[in-house]
This record gives sequence, structure tokens and C-alpha cells, in this order.
Amino acid sequence: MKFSALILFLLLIVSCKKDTTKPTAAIPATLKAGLLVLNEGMFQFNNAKLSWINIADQSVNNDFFEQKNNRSLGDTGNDLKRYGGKIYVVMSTSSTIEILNATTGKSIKQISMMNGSTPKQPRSIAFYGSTAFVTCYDGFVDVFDTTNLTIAMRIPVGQNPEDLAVSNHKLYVSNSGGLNFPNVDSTVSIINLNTFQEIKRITVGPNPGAVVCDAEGDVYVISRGDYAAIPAQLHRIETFNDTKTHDFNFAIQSMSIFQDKLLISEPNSIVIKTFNTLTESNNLINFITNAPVTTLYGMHYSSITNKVYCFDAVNYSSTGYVVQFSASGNYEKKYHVGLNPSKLIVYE
Amino acid sequence: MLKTILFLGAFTLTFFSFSQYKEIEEVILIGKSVDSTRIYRLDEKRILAKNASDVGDLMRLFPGVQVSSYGGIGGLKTANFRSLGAGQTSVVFDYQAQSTTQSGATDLGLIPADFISEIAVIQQASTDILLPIKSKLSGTILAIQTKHQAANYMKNGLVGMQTGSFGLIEGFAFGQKRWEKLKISISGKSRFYNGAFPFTYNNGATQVSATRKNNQVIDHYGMISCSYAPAKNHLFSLGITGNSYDKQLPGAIIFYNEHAKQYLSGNQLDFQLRHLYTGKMIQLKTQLNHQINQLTYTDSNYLNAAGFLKNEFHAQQTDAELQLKMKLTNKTSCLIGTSLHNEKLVAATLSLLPNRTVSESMLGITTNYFGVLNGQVGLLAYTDNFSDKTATKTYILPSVDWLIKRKQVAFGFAFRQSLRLPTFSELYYQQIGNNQLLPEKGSQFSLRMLHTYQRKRMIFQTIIQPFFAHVTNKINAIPSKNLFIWSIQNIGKTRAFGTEFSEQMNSRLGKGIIGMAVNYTFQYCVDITDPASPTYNNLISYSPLHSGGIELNYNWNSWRVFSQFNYQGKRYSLNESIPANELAAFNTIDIGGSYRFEKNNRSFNVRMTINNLTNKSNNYINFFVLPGINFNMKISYEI
Repeated sequence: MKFSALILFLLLIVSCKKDTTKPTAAIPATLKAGLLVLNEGMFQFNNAKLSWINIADQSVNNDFFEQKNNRSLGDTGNDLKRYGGKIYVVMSTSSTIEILNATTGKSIKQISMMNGSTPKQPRSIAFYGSTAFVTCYDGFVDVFDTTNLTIAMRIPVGQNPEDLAVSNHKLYVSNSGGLNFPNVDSTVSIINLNTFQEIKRITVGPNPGAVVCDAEGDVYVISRGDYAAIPAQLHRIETFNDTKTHDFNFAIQSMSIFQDKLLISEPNSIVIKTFNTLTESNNLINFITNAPVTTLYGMHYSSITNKVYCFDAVNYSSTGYVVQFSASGNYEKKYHVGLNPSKLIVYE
Repeated sequence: MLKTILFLGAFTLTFFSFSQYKEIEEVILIGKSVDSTRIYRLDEKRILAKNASDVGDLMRLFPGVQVSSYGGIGGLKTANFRSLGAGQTSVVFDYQAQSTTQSGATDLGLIPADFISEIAVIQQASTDILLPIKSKLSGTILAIQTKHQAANYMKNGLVGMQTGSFGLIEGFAFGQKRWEKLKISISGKSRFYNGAFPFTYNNGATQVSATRKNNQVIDHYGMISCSYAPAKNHLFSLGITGNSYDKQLPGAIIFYNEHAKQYLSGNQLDFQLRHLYTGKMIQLKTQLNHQINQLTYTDSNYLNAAGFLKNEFHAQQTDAELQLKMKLTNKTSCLIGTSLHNEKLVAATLSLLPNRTVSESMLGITTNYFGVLNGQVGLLAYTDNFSDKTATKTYILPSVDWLIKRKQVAFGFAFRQSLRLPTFSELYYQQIGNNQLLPEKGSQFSLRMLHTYQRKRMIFQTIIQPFFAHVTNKINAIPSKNLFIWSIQNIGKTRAFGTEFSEQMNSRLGKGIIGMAVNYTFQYCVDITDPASPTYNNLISYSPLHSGGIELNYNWNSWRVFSQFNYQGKRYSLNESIPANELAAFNTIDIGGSYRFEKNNRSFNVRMTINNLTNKSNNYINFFVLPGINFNMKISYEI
């Protein structure tokens, strides 16, 4: 019986133990001078989070959304953008779009992205005028007005559309077909933003993913291949006549717009190079070669702060970092954020 | 937590004050003799008292065992002993090792509890000729014996049914006929479960109530066995076991999206043929097994071009085994044995058609000169046949176990090395499979202390087992290119230490007998893969520091009342021990009563239970919710 008493005593002791967690940033009522970071979380863990970084004192709060709204963001955050007075968070597995007041961070509306009882699995969002466009993995781009926040129409595109960008009054949508692996899609759908209809579908390469538009209006698309024998590749689409004009032959994993360049990361590497969108030379220039990053999960350049931010996913199942560099590629600081950080908004 | 302990204390006192204390008239023994091989066991009486639909529900009564329950009835249930991983536990069902060809772990939720006569956790069984060599070389053996194989079960038949909350209906029957040289047994069970139970969960600071959807289970189970003894020394046994199931898979709760439309159906057929020769100095066992598994997974919400996903898997495993046990002296015996397995899996999702041949040989010895010493050396070689090449790997697996008993005290130690071979899915699954994987290596060292205290009126038995376990080459799935492209790697190392505590007590109390069983496990299992990793020295996922339970029962004539308290301590859903990954501790209390009417060697049993009496929200695996308060009634008739 002494043993039983000992065990109960131990239970009591342990149950009284306090957690020692570091103090976190206070979340201001009005958002300014900070970074809002989307942490994707993990599939089926409901642990996507928004982090608030106070630039002045470098403190971080990883429960921004929960503290503002008394509920969780949901499962697998895939995109985060600010447009006008609102922030749009695209939640893929939860199949929702969270729309927040950009000044307060409080939820204005949660749009359920269901087609009957089938989740649409939204992936990315882009804007044109007063209209928002959302790629949905069920083969559509959903359209809604940024004022009334109600889905108005669905535009059919290719298989499992992933990313999208607006250029020259047209919407360029990468059709990944990722859920049909190995028989993936290879096309980009082009939608006329006056008629909201697909006007052309052009082939770029297998498994298209990220899409960006440079200052000249050219669209760049990464086809991700099969992650094995077929490598990822960058393609350029001329938006004047909607044709693929270049296949670049350097190694690539992800890209991000950086002034008149693209930041380019290579597969399984933490080296970041630049690609000049004016000269479009195949010769990339080293930009960051010794980043204190374990797993480079994305990049973002802010013209507001004139900084480059890299996302470090570490081992994908533990919390990551936002790593800040100067515009010349020098390491400055890092912030400890949530699980799999991937997108960022800068507040002045 | 404090409230829990106070409640528990009050609950215990309630039972102890049931009636006035009197002199015990008979001794109710638990573990009259110390078993050197079975470190924990559940006998038929304890099993009958539990509201258990399947073996997975019973496993949480053992110290050191963590049950991963993915959602209650119908959900996947696996057992993990001392944090070695579920794949290091070999489930032996009536002396046949269960196939783990595809997933690497046996689903204990598919094995009905109604026909079980004993479940034991075995760590060392060097010269136990009936246990398969494959299992004797594993980290831990979970040995399940049914009434088909139990020599002391002399009833002719059993029929019963169980009904419960959320549309649970079960029917089961068992019958056996014995002749002088022949015994034939047959059993069967069908289960239907609607599974639409209410539950609550916390979404941030908001508590959400909902009803589980897509959670229906229909399964059927059957077994026929035959034992024939043509001569005094020879015993032939034939067993055929089959099950079939259709399950809806609700999966984890996904916030704002409760629209899972996934289904799993499967069929399994096991054949077993065994011959046992028992002579004066030797025993010889020859055994053949063949297992066939068919599994179909569908997802009608899958957003591919077809509009749904359908994956089919067909697995086969064939085993042949020979074991010879020799009595060397009155106190020493040895065993040599060899076995050969072939495993195949056919699935469109695999990059090729895997085929594995495993050869296991062992030399074991048991001697009783100074305590009981069990030692063995195993040799395991396996060959994976790829499409155009083969790869063979060989390993030596030593283990030793010693136990000495002096009067009421026993002391011992055990050391064991074991392997968990990579599964076919880990090796060959499309995109993520890695055919370079090596087996996980597990080592465990434990001490064992037993104390039996017996008085005229009561008996106590205490078991304390401190342990240390170490796993290298742990196979983990990690995202590689991005969160959707995963890869499987030998990247993990874990280290665990802790202790298991078990206390059993029986005492005469008033006109009845009161019994109590306490089990408690402390384990500190951490990731030690990479000192630079943020998870280094953090607790591994779903590994609570504290877990345990208390069973109380009171038997009076034909009546029995019982309660079961279960506790799962704080744990983490991922390997990083931070508040964001924390799962709160929870406890559940089940209570019930039964009545047994016996006449002319026939008995009628009725049992009622209230489960999760305090209606606690609980889940072993994050967001795989379990029901709140629910009810069961079971009726059986035995002749």
C-alpha cells in the first residue's frame, strides 16, 4: 500500500507542476509596425496559426488568430494576402476562407468552401478590381466580390488548380493535377477577366505550381515535375499573346518577386539566387549562400521594409522561423514562429 | 488533477465501506506461483468483467502498454509497449503470429473479446515451444488464447448478445464437442455499430458540440478449430479463422469541415496446421500457417479526375516452422527452432510487387538452478525481392531473462534486442517509399520485483518493473519536398526509461470478496535523434509521463459490481513538447454490475455498464474523439 501512496503522491506533485513558457508579444488592438505570418500547420492537426511579430521589440505571439477571435484558424493554411482593408486566409483542409479586418485582425466572415458535401480544398487567392479569385482543388476558380464576400460563380479550369496571378487583364492559373499522380496536369489556364471565361489552356510542363507576375507583366510558372526523374523547371509566359516563350534550364524549387528580379531557391538547398527578369539570363547570381536556415520553405520580399524574409520549416513537424535579411542578402535576425511558416504580410 | 485524486479516493472508500469486515474464509489467489515468462496477464474472469468489445479495449489494463485508439469501436487500435513502437509488439493469436505485412502493426480492434480465455504480455519465452519463433524474436509478445485452445475450458457452448449506445448490437456464439481423441470448436460473432455519438471539442477558446458522422461499422468474425490426438504423444491441431468488415472512416475532426467520406473494407482468412509430439525427453512442434488479407480503401471526396479514390491491397503470408525442445536435465531444457516466412503484397499504389522471405532460427535455454534463467540467441535473415534485384540482411538477436523467487519475493532482470522490419508500404509506397530502409533496432533492459503478501483474510501482489528502452534507425515519415510530398527515412532515435507498477489485491469483505487492481506507468521517452533539432530531448508524441488505472470489484454470491478508472497524462501530439502540441490529461470512469445464475453446470450472465460516467471529453489521438457517457448490456448463456 505504501507503493500506492507513493504513486498518488507523485501524481499530485506532477499535476501541480507549472509550464514554463516564454512571454509572448501583446497583440495590439490596431495592427501596425509588425509582421503577420501564416504558419501552415500540419494536415489533420488543426494547428494552422497566425503569428504576430512586433518589429520594435522583436517579440512574437503565435496565437494571434485565437486571441483575436476565440477560435482556431483551422487545418492547413495555404495562402495569406492583404487586399484593401481586409486580410484573406485560405485554409485548404478546413475548406474555408477566413476574412479578417486588416486593421484589427478580427474575423469579418468565414466563407465555407463546400460544394454540397464535398470540400473544394481552396489553395490560393488573387485579386482584380473588386473581385477575388480562389483556386479550388476540385477543378474550379471561385469568384467572389470583396464587398459582399459571397461566392458569385465558379470558373472551370484544369485538374487541381494550385496557384494564380493576374496580368494584362487576365488570370493565369496553374493546373497541377497533383491528385492524379503520376498522370499529372501540365497546363496553365488563362481566364479573361472581363468575361470570366477560360480563353486558353497552354502546356508548360508537368505538375505546374507557383505562378508570379513581374513588373513588365510577364508570367513565370514553375512546373514541379515528378520530384524524381523529371526536375522542376521555370517557364515564362508572354501575356501579350499568351504563349510559353521560354523554358529555363536551371534548378529551381520556389520563387518570389524581388524588385525586378526573382528570388530562386534550388531543391534541397538553402542557397538563394536571383534571376533577372529584365535580362532573363540563365546565369543566376548568388544572393544568400549561408543562411541560418535548416529547411528553406519559402521567401518573401517586402518593399515596405526593404527586407527579404525566408521561411524555415526546420523538420516540418516542429515550429519554424522567419529569418530576416537585408536587401543585399545579409542576415539580420530570426523570429521563432509556428509550424511551417510560409506566407507573410508586413504592417507599416 | 487534484480533484481527480480526491474523487478517486472517495470512490475507493465507498467500495471499502460496502459492508463490515469479516474473516476471510477462502483465499482468492492472483498469481499463486510466479510465472517467469508472462509478465502480465488477464484471465477470463477479469476479461468478462470488462466492457470490452475487442482486444484493444482490454490492453489498457496492462502497465507499460500505450493503446493508440483511433476513435473507439471500429477504429484502429494498436498497442505500444514501453515506447518501442507498435511494430515491435508481436500479436500471437492461438499460437499464430498475426501478419503485419502491410501496415506493420496488428489492429487489435478486429479481434473480438468474447472468446478470449487469457491475454498475456510475454517478454521472454525461450523454451515455450508453442509460441512462434518470429514472436520470440520480437520486442514483446502479446499472446491471446481463445477458448478454442484453452485446455481448461470444459463448457460445451456459449451464446450471447450485447447491445449498447449509438446502435451497438453484437451477437456471438461458441460451441465445442469433445470425444476421446477429438475436439471440434466453432465460434462466430457479428457486430453492428452506428457510431453516431455526440462529442465536444475545444476549438481555441470555443467549445463545439457535434455528432460523429460516417462512423458505422459492420463486421463478422468466425473460427473453427479441430484437435486430434491419434496417440498419447501426438496432437494435431487445425484452425481456420476469418473476418470481414466494412467501416466508415470518420478520421480526425477537421475544424469547419466534417465531411469525411472514406471507407475501409477488408477480409482476412488464416489457416493453421500444427503437430505436436510430446515425449519423455523431447517435444517437437511442426506448424504451417497461411494468411490472406484483402483490403479496400475508398474516398469518394477525393478530388482527382475520376472523382474518387479506390486503393486495393492483397497480402499473403505463409509460414513454416519447426521447433524441438529437449530436456537436458531435470532443471534444464533447451530449444532449437527454425522458421521460414514468405510475404507478398499486391497493390496499385506500390511502385512494385513486394515479396519478402524471412528466415529465423533460434537457440533457447531455460535452467532452474539458481532462479529461472531464460536465454536465447536468434538469427534473423530477410530478403526483399525488388523488381530486378534482391537484398539480404542478417541480424543476431540475443536476449536473457532471470528471475529468482524467495518466499514471497521475486527479483529478476531482462535484456532484449529486437527488430522491426520496414513494412512494404514504407519501402514501396508511391513517391514516398524508400527501398533503402533498414530495420528499426530496439533494446530494452528491465528489472522485475514482485512481492506477495498474504494474510488469512487477504492477499496483495505488487509488481514493480523499472525499464530502459532504446530504439535506433526509427522509421519516420517526414515531408521532404513540401508538406504534400513525404519521404520515409531511418532518422529516429528514442530513449525511454520509466517504471511499471501493478498492485492486485483480493480480500474477503462481508459475505463477499473485494478485489482491486492498480496499474501505473511512468515513462520518460524522448527523441535523441539530433542534438541540433528543436525536438531533441523532447517527449515523443503520444507518450504520456503518467498513465494508469484502478479496477475495483466486489463479488457477493452471484452478484458483482465493478468500476474502472483510467487515466492518461498530459502528452503531445508531435515530438516538440510545446503548449501548442499539448493534449490535456483525461480520465474516465466506468461502472457496472453483473449477475450470474448457475445451475446444473449451466450459467446465465447479465452485465450492465455505464461507461465514461462523468461524460469526459477524451481522445487518445488528437481529434480522434471518443464517446461521452454511454451504456452497454450483455447477456450470455453458457452450457
